[in-house]
Amino acid sequence: MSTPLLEVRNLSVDYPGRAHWFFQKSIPKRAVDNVSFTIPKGKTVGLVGESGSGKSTTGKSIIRLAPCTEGQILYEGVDIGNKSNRDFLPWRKKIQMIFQDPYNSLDPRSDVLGILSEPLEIHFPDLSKADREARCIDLLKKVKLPSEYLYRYPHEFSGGQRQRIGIARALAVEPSLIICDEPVSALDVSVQAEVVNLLQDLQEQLQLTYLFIAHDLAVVEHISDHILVMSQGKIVEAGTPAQILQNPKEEYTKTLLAAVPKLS
Amino acid sequence: MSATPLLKVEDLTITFHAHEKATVAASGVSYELNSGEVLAVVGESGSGKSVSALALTQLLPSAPTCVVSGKINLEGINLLSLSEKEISRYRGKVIAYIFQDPGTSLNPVYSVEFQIAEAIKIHRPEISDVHAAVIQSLNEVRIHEPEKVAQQYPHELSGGMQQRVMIAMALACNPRILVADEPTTALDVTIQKEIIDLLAHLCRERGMSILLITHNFGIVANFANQVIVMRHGKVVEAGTAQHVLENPTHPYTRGLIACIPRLGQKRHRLTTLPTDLS
Repeated sequence: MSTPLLEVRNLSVDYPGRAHWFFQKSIPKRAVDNVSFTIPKGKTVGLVGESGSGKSTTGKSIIRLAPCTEGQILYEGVDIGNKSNRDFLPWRKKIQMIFQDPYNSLDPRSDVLGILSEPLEIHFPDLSKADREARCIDLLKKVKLPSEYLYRYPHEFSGGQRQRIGIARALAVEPSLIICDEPVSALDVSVQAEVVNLLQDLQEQLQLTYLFIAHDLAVVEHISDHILVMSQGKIVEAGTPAQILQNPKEEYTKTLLAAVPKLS
Repeated sequence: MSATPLLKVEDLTITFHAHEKATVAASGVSYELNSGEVLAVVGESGSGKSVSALALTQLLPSAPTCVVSGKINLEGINLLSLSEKEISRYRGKVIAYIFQDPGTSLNPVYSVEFQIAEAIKIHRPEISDVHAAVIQSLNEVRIHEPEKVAQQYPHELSGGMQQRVMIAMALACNPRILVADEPTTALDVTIQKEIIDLLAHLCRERGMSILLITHNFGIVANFANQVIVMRHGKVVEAGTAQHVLENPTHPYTRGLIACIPRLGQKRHRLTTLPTDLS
């Protein structure tokens, strides 16, 4: 078997806890507890769980928005979890993230050109201004937005359009792995379907790999090749969508399945 | 269904005037809400569903910014014709609201008890033991350790708990109608189910009517009796929940139902709404 694009081995993440008294040492809170999984290239791995289950923290620790306390994160066999921030820079380009809330994840004072060209300035400093702009137009085309949106500001867009801009920003540096942290849960169902379809189209076109984090099993089942169910910091169940759906072993997975509204 | 409806909305039209431009947010909206029933208003963002619910108790900006016409009839009284002082007796007491985002609807600087007590003191001055009433309302929304939660502040609670507090506050005044504006959109699926089950239970137990605003037909199927579907400020389809779900006639309704991902029916692509709807 070839090396998977990403392998997470025994990952644990601690957040600093609250000290109860001034001299008392704070007890760290374990958000992710000994989690291991792999993401093969070009596939989508779905990560489901409730709020507080540690699913977002797992995603964040892969791109260092959360500390990796213990364990290893291997990108194409290289341990990136324990690198210094400076050494990590080349990997920032390869792993990108799409956030849940399209209202708070875009800078309100920057137009779309500014939002999309900032990552280009950092990771492709040799590009000329005209080249950058051409790339940005190309990015908008990829996410199916018209090029005249380049000079508009985030408040002029609807939630679905903003999420597309968020996706374009993630694509700007040509990543291989995108961590989608609840990319559709803040959107209307109709817009949700459009964004999910867009993500799938982009995956086909650009051979992207996704870690798709969500709390809605119906969406995760639709998009994923493999599903991980997380609860209280641990992966309690893993399998193909069919396995999880037809033979849920854990009580928690069954609860999640029962919670999905059904159209009779 | 021969009984007269509790709430009858006729030809409700809402127009916003800003920047010398008139925008029609709702036009000719009519519906009836029977007592003890759940009416779901379904539509995408911008379809006018929230605005038409806010108009019930004159919560919209006043004229000339916003012009509301039509009739909102609650037991023979036209709510639109009431003065500010008169309508404030209906707000919260007869028609209560819970909103989508509990985190921003609660006041961050006051404790849960203070906020629920405030509503009780205003609308039910006859209650002498306010503390007991607060605890009782927290109990009703199935909050464990209500005594402890009552002393907490909104930021100490999870989203699901905050929404329960909102519901407790809305229910503390024993309203006839509860307007739930996307009550579960900000919540996890498991919590969503709990909140919907809770609302259904309260609806049965108290004979309260619920106006449920949502964009998700999945919730409608499990919960609502009647449905109206809104698009661009107009009602495009109305009927019983079962009927609309089984035989949607308008292409927009069909689109909305089709675009929900369903468990166990894996398709290559999700259906999206057609763009050329008339």
